[in-house]
Amino acid sequence: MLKCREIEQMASDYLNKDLSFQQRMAFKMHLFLCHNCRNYIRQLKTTISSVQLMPAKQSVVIDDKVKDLAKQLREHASKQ
Amino acid sequence: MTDQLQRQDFINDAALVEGMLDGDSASFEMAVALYHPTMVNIAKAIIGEAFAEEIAQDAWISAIRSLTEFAGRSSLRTWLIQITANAAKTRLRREKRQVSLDENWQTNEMEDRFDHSGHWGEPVSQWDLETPEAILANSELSDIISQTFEQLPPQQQAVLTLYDLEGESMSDICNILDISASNARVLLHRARSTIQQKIAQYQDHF
Ligand SMILES: [Zn+2]
Repeated sequence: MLKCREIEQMASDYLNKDLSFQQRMAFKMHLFLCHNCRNYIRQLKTTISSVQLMPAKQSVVIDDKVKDLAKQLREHASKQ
Repeated sequence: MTDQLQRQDFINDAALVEGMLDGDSASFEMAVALYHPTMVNIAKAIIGEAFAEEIAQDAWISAIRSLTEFAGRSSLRTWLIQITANAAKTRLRREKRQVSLDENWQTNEMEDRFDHSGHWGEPVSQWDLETPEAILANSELSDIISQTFEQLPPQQQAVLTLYDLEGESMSDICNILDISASNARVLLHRARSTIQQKIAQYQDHF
């Protein structure tokens, strides 16, 4: 029987579908019996989806540093 | 002066590239704002802090030189990441010295969350804010996530960007960053886990 600690360590591989069939079955058996690990996996899934949604929710900041580099690059491009 | 623009206005890579080919300054600014931080980070992940900015700038120059070759097979970000990674690896060989990336292998500064028998030390709760939309709608939590992301060690941030944001395969990620598969898996899990723990800390005191 896997320990909660091992579930935590294998969690990303589980969500990435990178576990062998046997590991996957052992993992699922633990989740079936363990409420804490079920919650943990939900938290990790939600974390990944939140990270994935993050760029769409952020506004893009164009500060002086960005403008300077953009200007250099544009001048470089125009010389070609 | 700082402008705030919504990335949705420029969401299309092809339009951005076309704008750059036309010499449109807003397109250059948008491209730099969107991708330069990622490129610097990728360079850091491969060669370390010292040369990262310089390599990212050189990578932009080679990218612009071959902009007409960007065919939209990959996303613009992935294409720029590959150019940056190649520039960093070339430089690494030229420098002929092993750059220390040890920072990534520090033991987890987070406390051990398990007891001696391997069970959770504290019960793991169900989050009140349960969906990504609800989480990001909370401005404090959304700031915590982006700050934690930015503060991740470069290799962790690079793997997280490539896997979770760009959808690259593990084997491509190993090639791009020149790391082993087991290393990549550990880095990805550490990155996700750090962000998960920050969200949990906030939600538990909600
Ligand atoms: Zn458990």
